[in-house]
Amino acid sequence: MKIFYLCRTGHHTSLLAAALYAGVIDENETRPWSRLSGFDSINITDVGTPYYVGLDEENREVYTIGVWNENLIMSKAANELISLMGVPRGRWKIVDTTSITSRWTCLGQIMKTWHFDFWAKLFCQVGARKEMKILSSDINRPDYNYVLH
Amino acid sequence: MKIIYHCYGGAHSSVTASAIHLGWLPTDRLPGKEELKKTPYFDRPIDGDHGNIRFMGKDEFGNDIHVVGRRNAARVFENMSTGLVEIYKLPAEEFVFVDVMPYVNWKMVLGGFTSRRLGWAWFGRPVIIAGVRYSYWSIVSLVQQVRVFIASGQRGGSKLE
Repeated sequence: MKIFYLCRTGHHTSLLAAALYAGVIDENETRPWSRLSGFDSINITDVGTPYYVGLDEENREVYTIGVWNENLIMSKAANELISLMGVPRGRWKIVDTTSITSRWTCLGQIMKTWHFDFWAKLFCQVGARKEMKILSSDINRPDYNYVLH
Repeated sequence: MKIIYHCYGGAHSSVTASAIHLGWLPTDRLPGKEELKKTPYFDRPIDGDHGNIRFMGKDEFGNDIHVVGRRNAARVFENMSTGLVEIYKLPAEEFVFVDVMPYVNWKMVLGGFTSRRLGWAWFGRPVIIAGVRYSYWSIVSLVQQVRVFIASGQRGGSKLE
């Protein structure tokens, strides 16, 4: 079983969600970016490449994927592609976290494309704090999932 | 082997390329309007079909030919697809992703928008057909490259455009 978390870049919201789920970071973490390798470290040309986060408690591999604004299309395509690879249904899960991406994170990503690195980092960190609040309150819900495709 | 032709909507250029690959459209002359209209899925998919990988048929070597519309996210789609192939430890040569978008001209864009998005097939379809006929030899050339690529058993990258 493999779990894929989607967000705009694969190195922001989805990374926080995946790291929280895999136990890489704690839900009370106030500065998650300091403990997460890969946070905000994106190369625009690499968006879409799956990023390995770790194993969850049942030894399932957890990845993130960046999809920009095409979360619905890419989750559909990923599902169909994995099926084409002959992986039996139910052996993977795609969790779309784009709906909880903070506007601060989006702003940070825009700043990053403009090479305003200081502001990009700052905005992404503010965004991460806001997203962590949502994620840590949701992680304990038994039906925890955002958009499951 | 699975060959996936991808473009913006998966309705015109990728369908044309796959039809050429499967031998449904000629490679020695321009296809007629009726031939193009009769091609399965040609100018049929709608917005909701974007992201669906559609099986078109098997070529003479037994390769599965598919098409998909991935809007403007060509690089994201290819990165994700090649990444997933690696994660599932499949041979890289098993999947070939072919971007047909570079061969799309303004007539196909205008025709595709009016026919698929606005639903004006009466206006858009003839414009698309004119566009496809204009780029037809480029698409034929791309398909020939794909066939040579496959026949030569090349691997690595597995992205063509």
